[in-house]
Amino acid sequence: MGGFTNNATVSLFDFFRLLELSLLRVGFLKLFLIPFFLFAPGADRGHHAHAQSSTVRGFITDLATGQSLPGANVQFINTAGDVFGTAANSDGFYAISHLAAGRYIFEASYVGYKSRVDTFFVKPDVITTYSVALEPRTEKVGEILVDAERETGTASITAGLQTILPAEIERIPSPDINGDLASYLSALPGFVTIGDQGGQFFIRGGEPWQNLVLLDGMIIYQPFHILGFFSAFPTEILSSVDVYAGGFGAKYGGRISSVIDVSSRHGNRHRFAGSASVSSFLVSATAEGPIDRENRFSFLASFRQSIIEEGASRLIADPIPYSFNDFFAKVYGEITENSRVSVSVIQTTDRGISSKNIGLTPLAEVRWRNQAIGARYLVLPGEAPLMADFSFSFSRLQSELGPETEPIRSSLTSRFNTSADMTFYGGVADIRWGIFARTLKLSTDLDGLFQNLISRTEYLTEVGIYAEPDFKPTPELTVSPSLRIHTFPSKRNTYIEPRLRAVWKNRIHRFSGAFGIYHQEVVGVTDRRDATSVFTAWTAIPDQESVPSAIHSILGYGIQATQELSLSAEVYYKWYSNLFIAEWTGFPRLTTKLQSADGRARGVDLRLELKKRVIYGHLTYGLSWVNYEAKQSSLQLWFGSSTFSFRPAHDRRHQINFLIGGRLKSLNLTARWQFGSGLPFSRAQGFDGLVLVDGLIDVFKESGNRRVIFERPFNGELPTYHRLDVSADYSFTVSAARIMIQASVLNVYNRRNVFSLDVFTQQRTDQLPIIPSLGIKISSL
Amino acid sequence: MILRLHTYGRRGTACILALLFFTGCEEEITRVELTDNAFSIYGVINPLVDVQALRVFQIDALLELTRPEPIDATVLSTDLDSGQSIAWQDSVVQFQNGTFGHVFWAPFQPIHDHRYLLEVIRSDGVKAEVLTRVPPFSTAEILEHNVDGFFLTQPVLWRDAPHLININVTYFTNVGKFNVNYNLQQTKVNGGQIVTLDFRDDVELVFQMAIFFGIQEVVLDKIEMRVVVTDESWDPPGGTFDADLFSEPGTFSNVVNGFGFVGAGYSASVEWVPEDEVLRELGFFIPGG
Repeated sequence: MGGFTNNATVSLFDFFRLLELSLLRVGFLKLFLIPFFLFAPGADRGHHAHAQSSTVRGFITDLATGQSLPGANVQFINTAGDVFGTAANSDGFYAISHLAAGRYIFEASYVGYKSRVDTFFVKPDVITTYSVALEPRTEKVGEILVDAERETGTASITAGLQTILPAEIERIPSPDINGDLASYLSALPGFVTIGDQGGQFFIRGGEPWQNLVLLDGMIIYQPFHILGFFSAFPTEILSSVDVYAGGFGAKYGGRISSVIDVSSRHGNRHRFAGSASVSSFLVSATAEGPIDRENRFSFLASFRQSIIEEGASRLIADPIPYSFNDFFAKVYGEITENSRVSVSVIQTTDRGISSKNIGLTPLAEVRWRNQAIGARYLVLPGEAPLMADFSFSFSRLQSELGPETEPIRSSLTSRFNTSADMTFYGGVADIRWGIFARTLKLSTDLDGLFQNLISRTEYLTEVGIYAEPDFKPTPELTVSPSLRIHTFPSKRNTYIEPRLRAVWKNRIHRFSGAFGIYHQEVVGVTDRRDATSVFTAWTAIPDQESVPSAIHSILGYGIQATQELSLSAEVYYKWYSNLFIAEWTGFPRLTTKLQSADGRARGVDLRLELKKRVIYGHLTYGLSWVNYEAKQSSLQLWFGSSTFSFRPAHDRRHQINFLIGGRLKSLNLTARWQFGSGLPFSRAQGFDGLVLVDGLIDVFKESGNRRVIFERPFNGELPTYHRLDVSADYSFTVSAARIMIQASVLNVYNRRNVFSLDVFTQQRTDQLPIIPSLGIKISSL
Repeated sequence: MILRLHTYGRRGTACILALLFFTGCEEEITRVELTDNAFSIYGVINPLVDVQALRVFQIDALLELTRPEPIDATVLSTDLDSGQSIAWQDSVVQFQNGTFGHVFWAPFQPIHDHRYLLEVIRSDGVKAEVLTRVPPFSTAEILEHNVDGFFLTQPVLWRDAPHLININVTYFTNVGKFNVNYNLQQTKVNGGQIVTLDFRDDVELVFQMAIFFGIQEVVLDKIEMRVVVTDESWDPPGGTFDADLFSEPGTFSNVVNGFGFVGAGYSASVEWVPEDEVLRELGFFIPGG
């Protein structure tokens, strides 16, 4: 491979010349291009050398379905053998700038598709749109995908970022025949899930409310279903998922721990297709197809409904009191060769019995509903090597705890978001920048659960800009310094957040690093004393309080030891400040006040991945230390110190995931074993009562309150967690349909894993016992 | 070398597997590591009443509402100065909220300045105990008032009082009764405890209300101060009686081998009318004056 050849001395003039043209001719882009001038480095308008001034760009799609192919490789090879290459982004878009005029060999390739090789003549000083549809390989591969060029799995990990494709998700045993993102994430080191109930992820020490989850640019506040095996995103609708466990760039903000950016695929633009499946846990159906005769527009729709109480619950002795459903639809279209539009909508509904007692009252029902709708308009301006992405979205989350007619607590959060994201393909540097404006409405009614937050409605406006150039000083090195500035005018808070990501890689080795500063103005408040609370109320930080913030640092190394074997290691350190945690009290009730805390999360993630023809396996190990320092005012009196350091309830020290899978003709076998060391909990020393002796009390009349005697918060440790899941699926074709039958067993050796322990009532709730599951899926060919 | 590494590798793997086996097989949780303390005790020894009572909680391994069945406890009190010992009686009380509690009581009137040892004993001999001294009888003495510029203060000495709580002052006027809570504000002196009233600050509201009601001549009929005279240990940490703060066992406790708090105290009060000079200074009308 020849690598990139760039001429840095000619790029800036060309860029500004083209930018001027775009400013003049693409009127509506003017406003959004202006920010670039603020960030463009060293513009030298007097320089007129422009030996390499042409740009070729386009979309790489699937010939059969019209689907974008994110990550597809594109190369231009000149007559001297120099290679100019790039990979398509999540929209399947590629752009290569500063090509000298002349004859090239063009090659587009993607795993599972026939490569497309053409002779291409680049004209001087023009921007050419050249989109290519790749033809899927029709011959039966019959093996697990192996492609060193395709950066997925362990090979794709750079400084906390991993790109996940649906095919990888499907490898993880799951109660659903299609697999699920939630099951995949739980196999990643540094991702701590409390269990198979509740749907909460703690990512490298961060709490669930500190994770930003986006679907096609729409924020999803509660992205996992109440049964932890399932995310709100069916695998069937996914195109790719970018997961930043930390150190994310300036494009993302408003959260202090991680980002899960989900991109949905488009519907088939050439023919109608669909699938339906049923398993012990849910039924689902997906449909897609063209909308117009010209096959420029398509639709994709998916619906899932849990049947746990009718299915899985009957297979075991214990009831599983959860139900959920989700609906997703998307319309996608090519308006012109240079523009795309899409509209996505999602709704999820969850309902279940909380495993937690509310004081000494009966178990409470928790419910929530996500709703989001968003539109994207993606355009390639005629005279600029630029991609402009305009998006509008509205997201809403309604949560309730307690009886439906008279909830004890409720929270309603809605957000309207507009943003414009630009990417300039400059050869030496691809520069992304953008502006955004958001309005949020936050309503909470917490029935006295949290101090000062009993019942309130707030409106917030946020505006901001960011710039994120990718500099490539050498073919191996990419450095991405970035800056995000966002402000909340009504609160007079402005945050300036510098960030940096860098990757150096050659054919075998890969070094990466990331650093960043993050703030979070809107926080999720929950009672986190035992880490299993499901109900989350979103609220803005009170004016007089400092907002939660974090500093991330990550260093990573990866090696592609052989074509089949890859290894990666990452060390990370996150400093958290101004977190809000529940105050401690010995009274056996969940009515708490909030206290401020700082936190530290540090650890090492190791991954070993094997892809060998018909065998796939990975072994991951996560070692982490999460430590909070509480600042409750009474600590001095209780423990003799103004702060108290402790392990929060999600501090899982050791985590191991082992997955092995193989294919035998049409039979696919997978086994996965998970291990997690015990989580901290507050062990009681007994229960007594407290009567406040504040005067000449009459003990015949003062009932007092029951009390829990704690030695220290989180002084105990729950038993270890481990579980073995196995699944087998068999596929065959009947007429025009492909049928897949899946049999799986979760928790094969019926481990009694603890889900929650009520520290007050000592009531233990276990995770799901051994559950066999059978599923069938029928999909059109 | 390779062989050695191989051996180390096998040993390491074996160790990890053994570790996982032994740590991983444990399914049960040690939910409660029961404290050695057996009881929590609450109450007040009051020399002005002839029946004393204590609320006793057993320290249980389970959080349950107290049952009406008898508990394994015997309560004894001993007057360490006279040597007299009394066995207390158990009673089950149902409170207004429907819950039950165990209240032990004994018909005796403690003597001022005597030390009392209260013991709650389980049948196996484990016991929790409290030693408390009943405060001496205290009388109030209105000391000379002080004028310091605008400020006008009135010290009141509670002679021989070890400590005071719940200090309240009421101003009886023709506008109405005005209550001012001094809580625990006191100064320890050789002869007892001094409470210093800030007259100017206290009567400001009186005159504001007089203006509101259109009363021209404001008359102060008397001042009443009520306190609870207590033993020295009855001094809450943090300067306030805060149930949340005391929810951490041991935070406000004088019980040995147990939790809770048993104080000794009694209520006392004094009434007086300030001198005419003080009343005039404060702006009160003096009928016939």
